[in-house]
Amino acid sequence: MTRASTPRRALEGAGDPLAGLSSVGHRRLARWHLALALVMGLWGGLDALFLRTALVTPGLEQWPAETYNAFFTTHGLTMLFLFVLPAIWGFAYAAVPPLIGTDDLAHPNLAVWAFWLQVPAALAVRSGTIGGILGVAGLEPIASGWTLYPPLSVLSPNPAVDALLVGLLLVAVGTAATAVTLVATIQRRREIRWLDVDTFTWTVLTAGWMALVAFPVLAAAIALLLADRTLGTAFLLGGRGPLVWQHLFWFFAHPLVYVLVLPPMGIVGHVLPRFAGRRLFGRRSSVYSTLAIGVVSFTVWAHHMFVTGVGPSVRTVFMFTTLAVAVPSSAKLCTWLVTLWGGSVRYSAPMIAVLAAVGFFVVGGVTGVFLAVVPINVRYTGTYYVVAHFHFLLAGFVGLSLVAGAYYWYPLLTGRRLEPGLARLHGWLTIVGVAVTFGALLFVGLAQLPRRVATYPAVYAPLQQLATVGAYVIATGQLAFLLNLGRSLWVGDPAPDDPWDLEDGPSHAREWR
Amino acid sequence: MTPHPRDAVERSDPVRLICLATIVSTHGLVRLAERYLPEFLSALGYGPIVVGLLVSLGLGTAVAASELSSADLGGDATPALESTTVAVLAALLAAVGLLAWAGAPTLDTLLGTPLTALGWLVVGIVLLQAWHVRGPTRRLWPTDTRAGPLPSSAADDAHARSDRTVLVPDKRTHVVLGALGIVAAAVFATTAVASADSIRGGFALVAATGAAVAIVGAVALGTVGVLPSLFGDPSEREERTGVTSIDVDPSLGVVRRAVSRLPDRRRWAVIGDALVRVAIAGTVPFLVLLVVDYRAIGLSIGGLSLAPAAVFGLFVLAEAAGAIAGAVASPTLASRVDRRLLLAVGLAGLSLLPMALVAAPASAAAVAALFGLLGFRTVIEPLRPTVGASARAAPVPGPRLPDEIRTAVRVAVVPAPLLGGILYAINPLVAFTVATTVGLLGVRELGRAFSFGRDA
Repeated sequence: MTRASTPRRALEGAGDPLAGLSSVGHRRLARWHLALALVMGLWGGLDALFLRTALVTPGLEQWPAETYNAFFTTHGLTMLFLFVLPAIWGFAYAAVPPLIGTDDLAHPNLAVWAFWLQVPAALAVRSGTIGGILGVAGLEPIASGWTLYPPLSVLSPNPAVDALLVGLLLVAVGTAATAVTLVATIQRRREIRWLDVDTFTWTVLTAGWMALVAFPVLAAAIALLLADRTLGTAFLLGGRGPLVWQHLFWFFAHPLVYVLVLPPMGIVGHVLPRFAGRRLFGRRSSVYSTLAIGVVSFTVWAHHMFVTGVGPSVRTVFMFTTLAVAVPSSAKLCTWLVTLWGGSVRYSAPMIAVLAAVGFFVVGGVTGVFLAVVPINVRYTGTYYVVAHFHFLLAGFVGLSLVAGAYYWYPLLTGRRLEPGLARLHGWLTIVGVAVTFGALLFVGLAQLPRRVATYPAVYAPLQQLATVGAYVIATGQLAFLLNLGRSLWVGDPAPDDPWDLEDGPSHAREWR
Repeated sequence: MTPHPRDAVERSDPVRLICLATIVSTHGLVRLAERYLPEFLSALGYGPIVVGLLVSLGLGTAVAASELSSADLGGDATPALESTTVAVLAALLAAVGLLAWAGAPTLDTLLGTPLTALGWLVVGIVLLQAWHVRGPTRRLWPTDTRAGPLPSSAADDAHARSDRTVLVPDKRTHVVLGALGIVAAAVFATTAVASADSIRGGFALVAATGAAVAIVGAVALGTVGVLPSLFGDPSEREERTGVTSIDVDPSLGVVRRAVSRLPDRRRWAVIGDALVRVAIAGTVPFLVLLVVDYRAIGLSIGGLSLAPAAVFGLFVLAEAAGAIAGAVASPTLASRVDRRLLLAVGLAGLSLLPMALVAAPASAAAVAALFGLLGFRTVIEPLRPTVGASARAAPVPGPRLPDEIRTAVRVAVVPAPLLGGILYAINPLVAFTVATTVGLLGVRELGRAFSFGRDA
């Protein structure tokens, strides 16, 4: 027997904080994950602000090069593993159970255990920064890039690298456990037919399965790296060792991108029709494209390695597989656009974020298609073009989809309303900031300026400054979000049962019933 | 007193508060960037004459734009919408202008344009005048002659007649808000310049941050849809009593006739005050050069050592603090001290400041105190004849100043920075001494106005 999941029940059990350590209500898990994501997102965002500030001038005016290297390393690690990943699981815990008609998770204790692994993992990943700030002897911020390429990562004497690897192992184990919980919940606790399962749940299910395949590979690769660093083995050193790491790493990391992108695609597919006054067009094709992305994304990793000496035939194969991923992605885009066509659009805060996310998806997707093509990839790999491409997808599409999800499901999670004016301001600042920042970096990238270098030729200073201006605008937008959050939790009005007035609409969703 | 209902709503509306905060911050950062611009120019290899030329160009552009824009105030758009749209555009143009400044040294190479760094700085200056002339903070301190005349002063007249308050509450709020924006920006600029290895890096950081905040302000304004009332009534039109600016013929003959129509004492007062304005306008742009290059006043407190360029930010902070103090003290002083005396002493003190800055001991505290006094001029600002105080309580009573004369004063100030730059290039001591001399001449003219008829 299922119970209604209205905002009124959002904070059930929240009054006993100690019970929360073992209590396993899906909403509580959602709040935990989202709170962790928020904290780590702010920390990772601060890294980005610092590195953008360092790039205002072409020379080393503010910090030494090593500090700049540390900023981009910790920014990448934090945002990918400790911000987006917990955030998508948070939204999954918040919405999936009510969407499939249940209030129970399949393995509740495993879910709790998996979450609490993330806290020491986060501390371990950031141990270099913490140690550097507190002056702990030997610990320094890690400066090898989030890809941890050997031999730099193996030979670095910084003990924070070991802590980072342990932290990433914990992330891998915790993520796999979370994926097991969500996959099992969807497959076993579902009280509706597969045909009735919504697109967001399909994306969570696919992302869960992908995580179960990909993260063990990360764990294995890290085990090899740890062995090289601590046991004196040489799995990843000498000869083709560094290439072995790259193959293992990208076999994990490119699917990771889709683990991070698929649930936001689900959020867009879920939220967009509700504020367009229509049902999602081509729902079935949307599900098939989700599954296709889940499979094909495991066959594209080598496009990250086109310049490492991979043979021409292999490069051609991976070029086509990479291009193939664009097909289901385009199918999704078509479903969104056709849904909007002739719809009665309401420009609420979630809808503004979703529409912008779709726009950034187009830009990020098109620039990504070019990177699949070998001659172009060879030219632009390792440049700001790549930075612009994946930030249009991750900051623009994923980030704004998460913003949309946050606003849309906030009443479900807290039972309160957010201030719509502040929400719109947050949305617009983020949109403008992303467009300015990564638009500027796209131009820098088209000029083939190498990324991950603390200095650059003075000619690019205006564009780098423009990108920094955009980053500051994004940061201000997030302050507006924090203000809204604090205000809502402090003095926010209770949310009604149907906070978005969807009751009479054609796409009223199950979670509000 | 019952608060205005709209103010109460605004206080509880976080978006309006953010809008207010970002716009005031933009105001502060724009002003700080302008104050540091001469040092940036110096770092690029340009001398004080170029500095003066650029500042004069900015003032001239602003005066021209102000006259043109006030002529275009008619139209079908609703005043609130028009006002917000113009404010958003002004903020965006300010952002572009600041970015042009930050990137000036290399924009030519990037874009393939033939403008040179100086050309891009000129572009920035011209764009920033949109902020000064039509931006939402044009009434905030430091108000200068760029913003054009205030709206109809009928309400002010009534207010002044009723309680003899020197600064009406809104105007005091404008001083405090503007100064607070500059205080915040000065703290940031000091940090930025201190953290960078060179003034070029520090200036770029200040300008880029100013551009970011301006964009945030534009987005916030666009989201709110209506200007916060603290910046003035959104339906405010640049109404003028009598002749409108489009009718103003700024030719010399017209100005001469307008001046001749003024009563003698009023004319002397206006000329005297205008001379003080010219003197200050001719020195303020060079204060950063004086502090950083000529006198090289650094600061060491404990283990913290600040270079002169960073210390200049603290001096501007002191000036803003002085402005707040002046605004706060204004009503008390005006009610207890003779207004003529207050104005004469104030203008004399203001005129002596350039010399004092050159002659003061090379101590950061002493110079900060002088900057504080420079800011304290807000205490006499509403009494100054060129502002056009038309109340009977004004030191030199009379009708509202004709627009032709207001325009003439604004035009007269335009070449002051250029002349100041030429003199500064000869010797900073010459420039600041001449400024003090011109200012004291102005005070003498004012004295003639005050003594007129006393012998009779």
